[in-house]
Amino acid sequence: MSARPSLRRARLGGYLILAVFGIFACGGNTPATTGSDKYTFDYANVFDKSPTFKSVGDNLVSQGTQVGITVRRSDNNSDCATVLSNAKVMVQEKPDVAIDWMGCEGAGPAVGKLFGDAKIPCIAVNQVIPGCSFFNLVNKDFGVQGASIVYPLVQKAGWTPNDTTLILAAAPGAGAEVNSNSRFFYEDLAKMWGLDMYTADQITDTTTTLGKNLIQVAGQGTGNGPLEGSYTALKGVLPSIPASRHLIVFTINDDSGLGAWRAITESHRENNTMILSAGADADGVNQLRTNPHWVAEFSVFFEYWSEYLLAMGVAVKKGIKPPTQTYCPQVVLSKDNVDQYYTGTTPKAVPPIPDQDKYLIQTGILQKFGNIPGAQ
Amino acid sequence: MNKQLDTPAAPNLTGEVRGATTRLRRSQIFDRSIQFLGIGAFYVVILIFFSVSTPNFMQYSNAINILSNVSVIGIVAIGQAIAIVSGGFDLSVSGTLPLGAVAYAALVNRPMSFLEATVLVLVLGAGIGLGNGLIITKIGINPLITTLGTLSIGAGLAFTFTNGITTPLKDLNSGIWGNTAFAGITYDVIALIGLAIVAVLVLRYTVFGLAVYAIGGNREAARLAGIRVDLISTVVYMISGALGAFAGEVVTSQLLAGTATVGGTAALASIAAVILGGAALTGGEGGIIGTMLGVLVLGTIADGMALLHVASFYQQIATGAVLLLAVGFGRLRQLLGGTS
Repeated sequence: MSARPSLRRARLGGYLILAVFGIFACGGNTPATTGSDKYTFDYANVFDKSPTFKSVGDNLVSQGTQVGITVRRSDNNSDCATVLSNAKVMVQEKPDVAIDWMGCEGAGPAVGKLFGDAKIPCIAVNQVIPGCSFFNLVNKDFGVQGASIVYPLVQKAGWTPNDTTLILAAAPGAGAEVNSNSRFFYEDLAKMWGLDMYTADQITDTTTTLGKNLIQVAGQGTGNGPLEGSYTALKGVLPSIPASRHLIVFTINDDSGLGAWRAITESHRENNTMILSAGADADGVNQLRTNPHWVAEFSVFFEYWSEYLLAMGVAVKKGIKPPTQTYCPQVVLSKDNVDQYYTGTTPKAVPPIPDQDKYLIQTGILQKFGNIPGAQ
Repeated sequence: MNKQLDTPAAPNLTGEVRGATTRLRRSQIFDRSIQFLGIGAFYVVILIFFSVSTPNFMQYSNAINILSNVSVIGIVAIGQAIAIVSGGFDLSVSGTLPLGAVAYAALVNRPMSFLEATVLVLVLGAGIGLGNGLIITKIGINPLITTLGTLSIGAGLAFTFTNGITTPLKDLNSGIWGNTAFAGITYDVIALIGLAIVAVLVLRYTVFGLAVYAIGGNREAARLAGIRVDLISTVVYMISGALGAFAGEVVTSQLLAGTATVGGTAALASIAAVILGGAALTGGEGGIIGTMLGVLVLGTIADGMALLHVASFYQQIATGAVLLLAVGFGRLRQLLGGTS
């Protein structure tokens, strides 16, 4: 009596599974690649919820169209499982080149294996994927140059290591490379200024406080994005810092910077704060121009990443071997040099193509846009 | 009368009651078959839609991709289904999963054999489940609060344990669950199917399984019927914890690295799959086959939309809408059928 319904449901389940596999088995194998002179790239973006990052994917699609490259995009959402499933989708689609900005360092080996097994040429953005060509900024340089901008400012303001706290709104879990900007910022400023000495290596993802000068919080948020995450993190930590102490806040990106700044203004500590941020999106550059306490903005010219990545993709597809790392254009903006690179909040000039990137010129892609000095 | 997908049969009755019970059972069988076919048909509709929409969907390799992609959530969902059927909840899987992931990576990197590491990971997960079970049954704290607390502890421990740094597997062969077994099918898929079969058998044909349904249906009645409610509940959380940690091991195998950043969405995704599969949050209803269908529906929608390159924001909306639609459809059918 009790076995009957089970048997019937099991039979139904069996038929269903057979039907499902039947449907899949009937499918043909349709390569996604278009004609030989028209390329199809697959691009997985790091985190579409951030407007700054989303713009990279948007530009890649629209600029790809301009040069005859079809770009199919997806969003990794900075989530390891999504990174892996998106990579499998790419393998399924067999693009000419796969470009992956993971946002999850841990997925690198598996994603590299997937692309390697499928023999799909690939480009890793920002985080290394074994077997893929690598496109990235030099995070360390931001930290070092940021420290050189802040040091004269704190001296001029009369702040001392004894009355100043540095808050690093970092990105735990994103990997050591991504966080080397804030960590080298602290290390270099500590060397110049005499803060409690800790090297970049000593500041890890689990660091919260080190000595009397350093506090680290999660600036990228968890699930809600960096704007809310950084705001919440700063709101949490500010009450623990005496109001008399000066603050230097280093944020991982502009969303994070804006969230942190909101927390600082709500705590009425803006007159006692210097803030540096990364990304140079419209809000960030606007803050640099209008906010006296926003002292530096690290621009990696996200607006031009798509040109670099398209050129790099074509190079990889054509069998040109890129160097160990292809550098994105980057510069540290201060109030002194922002007009050199930006009109209002729009970039008007980009640094010349770095020497190690000049192999991209062979593809002819950069010339089609005519934006990069040295590749026009 | 609530409709369930694969709730076990009630014990045999005698005398005059038997006739009524038989009629009731037939009605139940019909009802469950309709619901099973309803979700199954819904799944087939999804398959047909994506097959027509994108040429890369209807391929054997993509079927394997879907199964492999859902294997982790599927394994978690098996434990979650048992917990929900028993009238509980297990949010802590989002903590045990990353803990299991980093623990497995650390253990096999020592180096330790795959089998030893697996046993230790299972013990670790079961230990967390034991903690959950004891807190819920002995101290009397609500399962939601208890497992929310252990979620946070587990996830925090995973970060602390690794210092937030990703641990690549030194020997890539240690990532056994991500390897191909045969015909492109990976071991993680085999693990999911094997565990699902075992769970179906346990829930249907063992005293433990019947007790889980009884506790979920009416805890007090189960206690009065002589069922050791606290013991069964604790074992349920141990099973869920062990499966959560094992899912972490599978993730590490898939990623070829242990990282504490995984599993954040495992709790909600697994609950969604269980509910989609016909379970009731109030307990006593639901089962493994329905849960697996729920997992497949969610995974297939995600895969299909990824192949269609639907913007991620729309994917979120679509997934939520499908969940509401499927659960709402079940409720509507109950209302129209005059059942509660």
